[in-house]
Amino acid sequence: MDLMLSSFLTVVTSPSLMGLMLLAVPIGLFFGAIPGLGGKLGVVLLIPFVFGMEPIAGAVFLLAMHAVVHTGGSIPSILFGVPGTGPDAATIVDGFPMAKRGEAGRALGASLGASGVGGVIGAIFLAAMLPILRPVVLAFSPAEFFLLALFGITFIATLSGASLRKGLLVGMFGLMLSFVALDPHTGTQRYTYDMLFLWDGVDVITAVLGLFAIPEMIGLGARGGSIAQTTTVARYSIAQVLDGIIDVFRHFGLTLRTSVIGAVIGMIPGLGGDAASWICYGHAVQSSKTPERFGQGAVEGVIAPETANNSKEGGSLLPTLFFGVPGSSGMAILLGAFIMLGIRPGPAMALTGMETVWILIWTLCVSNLLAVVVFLAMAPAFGMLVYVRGALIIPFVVTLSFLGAFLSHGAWENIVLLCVLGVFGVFLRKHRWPRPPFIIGLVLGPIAEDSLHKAMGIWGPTFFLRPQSLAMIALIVGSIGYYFWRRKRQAAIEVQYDV
Amino acid sequence: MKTLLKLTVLGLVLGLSTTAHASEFYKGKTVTYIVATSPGGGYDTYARLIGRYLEKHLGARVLIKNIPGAGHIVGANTLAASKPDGLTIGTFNTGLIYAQILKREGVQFDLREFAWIGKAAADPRTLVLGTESGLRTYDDLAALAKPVKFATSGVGSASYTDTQLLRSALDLNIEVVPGFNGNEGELAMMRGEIAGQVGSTSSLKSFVDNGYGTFALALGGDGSVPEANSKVKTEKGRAIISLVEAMALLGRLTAAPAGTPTDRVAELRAAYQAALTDADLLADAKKLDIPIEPAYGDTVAKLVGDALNQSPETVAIIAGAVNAEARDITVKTPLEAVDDGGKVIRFKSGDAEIEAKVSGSRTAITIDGTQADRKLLKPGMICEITYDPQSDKNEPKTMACKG
Repeated sequence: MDLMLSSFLTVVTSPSLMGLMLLAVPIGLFFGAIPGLGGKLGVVLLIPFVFGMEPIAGAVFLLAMHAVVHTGGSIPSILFGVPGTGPDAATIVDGFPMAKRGEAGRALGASLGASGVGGVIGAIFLAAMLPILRPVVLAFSPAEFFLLALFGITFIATLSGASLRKGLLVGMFGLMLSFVALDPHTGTQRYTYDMLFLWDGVDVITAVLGLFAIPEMIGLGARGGSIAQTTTVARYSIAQVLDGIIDVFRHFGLTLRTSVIGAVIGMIPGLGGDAASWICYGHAVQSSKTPERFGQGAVEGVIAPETANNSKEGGSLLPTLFFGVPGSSGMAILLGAFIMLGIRPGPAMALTGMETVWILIWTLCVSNLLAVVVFLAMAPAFGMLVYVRGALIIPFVVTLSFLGAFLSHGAWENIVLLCVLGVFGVFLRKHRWPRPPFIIGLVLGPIAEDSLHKAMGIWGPTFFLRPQSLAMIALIVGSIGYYFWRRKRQAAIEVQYDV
Repeated sequence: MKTLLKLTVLGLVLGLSTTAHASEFYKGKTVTYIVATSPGGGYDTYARLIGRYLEKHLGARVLIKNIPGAGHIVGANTLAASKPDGLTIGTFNTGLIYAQILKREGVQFDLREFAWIGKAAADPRTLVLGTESGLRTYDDLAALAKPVKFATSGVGSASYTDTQLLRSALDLNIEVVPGFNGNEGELAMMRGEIAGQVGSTSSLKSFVDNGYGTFALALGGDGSVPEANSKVKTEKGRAIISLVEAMALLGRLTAAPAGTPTDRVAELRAAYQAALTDADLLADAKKLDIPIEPAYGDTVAKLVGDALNQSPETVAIIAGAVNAEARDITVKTPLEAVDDGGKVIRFKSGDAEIEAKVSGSRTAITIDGTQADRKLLKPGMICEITYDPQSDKNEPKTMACKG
């Protein structure tokens, strides 16, 4: 306890550490906000600058930068429907409709508040988890990964909106495309048609850009006007942003739950940020009393993924520090940087390095709060962009989309893929078919397949008879049952109204 | 656009550190250093470190370009297809030697043709047993009645191939479960689901230091761990072990595309050597905890060439180990004998002596690049021979000879 407080004081009373964080936060926001850059590249490019720094100072600088990337990533998601990073893609589904409704400020505020609060709750939750970290992390094996992915896939139903049939079709199509890749088990090419860029599967960022950004921009061009469709000049104001931040506290139960879910998913190496934010989005829809508002600009749809993608940072920091096993690919690069700086992650940390651990946890908290302040200063200017005439904004967003598709894998073929999926997206949008199920299928399909292979390899076909697995199966059955129960009840209410 | 600007600014900042060693051609030019993985990870770390010191000793700006995909194949293909003007170099996984031997789909490069600059490290392989498995030594593993499970990366990866080769060489009682990427295998060992793993010593060192496992067997190393050589019982096994060891010596390769002018290759080699012996680089490498064990130019070219020239038996073992189809074998070797007017030739394929019947109509022969008759073949000519070991009399399909 003493150590916890004294390290807090070390962080906030040191002008050099606070200065480094103030420098790192805008850099992190920048790397998040430009599609295709992301936190990993940020750390790699900054490593030469921390050569020769004090270990703690260098680690604080890099971690602060990396921690706020997704706060920045939500800006283009909300304003243009272009995700800054993969995990920010789920924010588009409700964030962009809010911008269209003239509530860009509120959406940005909600995202900002959610990111900040998520980051802090994530860090606090993890501090509380420290004593039982090892059993929790080790409780999740490939069998549980498979069932967790399956659980996420059942959200396809919840995210289908009015027509379950349409949602399932789109979701299955996403799952089908997730099979395009080298078979993880046998290494044979599957639907790759000898094109090497497809060996690693269909790129998720490209798919999100094709399904959301391109159709929305074509829609905007056809309609004319600006992204915000309000006729009255609902001028953007700081009050709107504050309203968004307050929204986070209006839905505090949700914020708390998604922060914890995000932190836990972050803590288990191998699931990744994309899965975290989509599972939390699905949870928000499922737990809402009015799920039909989602996709039309429900503020909870912004809060859930944004809390998750910041709280998972803290989650993935812990296995990195205590086992030397990185919780995510971003953390793997940070781990390398830590070693270079002279910080030796591993179980010995618990005995000799607890002060470092606490300093890093506090860095997560403080940098997330700093990001709120920096962002708040910039948000009004960003928010105005949605009132700019479409003719001026479309070329910019389309360029950004192509750039993002190219940069995410450095492959020009992804630009062709973007066009193909863009056409598909236009079709879905025009005929009002739900689009999120497609991304769910694409993101969770490979996790499910890969872990099923591994679970079968380790335990054989009876792998799901283990206690943890049975609990997860109960969760999945419960979730499906709840969905049908709710649909039936809704149908009953509608019948009453008809009468 | 901003990205580009930022990268340029960063490049300029790094470029300021250039010194007087700069050569005439490279002064003020930009060298692209292709890394066949995403940013972060071993190959990227080595390239960024070496790149900074190449700038110093070459006088050129070095730009790191990450071209990931298809297990390093996309990056190596891109390097092979780059303009051979000495302004593009690249680094990729040594496991591509296996890919070329097995003529894997998608391979569009020829490792024999690359202009080799050097290699930065040796990365000896070790067999690690997880503490949770209850196995402590190699003998525990060898004495098992029931098979235990070993984790590897995806099928076709270097980790998978190494594990399968070792299993075949030592007749290990293990079941291979592929699909464990990054550190997932280590976590599975900590959970006790997986007994062990074959991997590079440097990347498994912290896992062992932290008490989660023990090194049970080493393939080349400092002798603190039992050597695989001392446990192997068959001749075939010995051949496989020495192949895996040879591969491990060739860590972190750097090459330029085929056809790069020799004077520029020489300059690149000199700068690479100067960079890897630079005291500051060695200090930085120590901080990064990455081993440096360099070799340069022709030495590396010879090591790669030797690794590619394998006997039909070894190729069959590699193919069998990874469930691939054994196909044609390509070797580059001198003709040891030419008899009967070029109808019968003898050459070495790895350590096997091959006698082959050259067909007058089916074998496509070139000498110094022009089409030629088999009568013109002479002993001592260096030939790149592609033959099908399953065919009658090892008939060559193509022979490209020099001399």
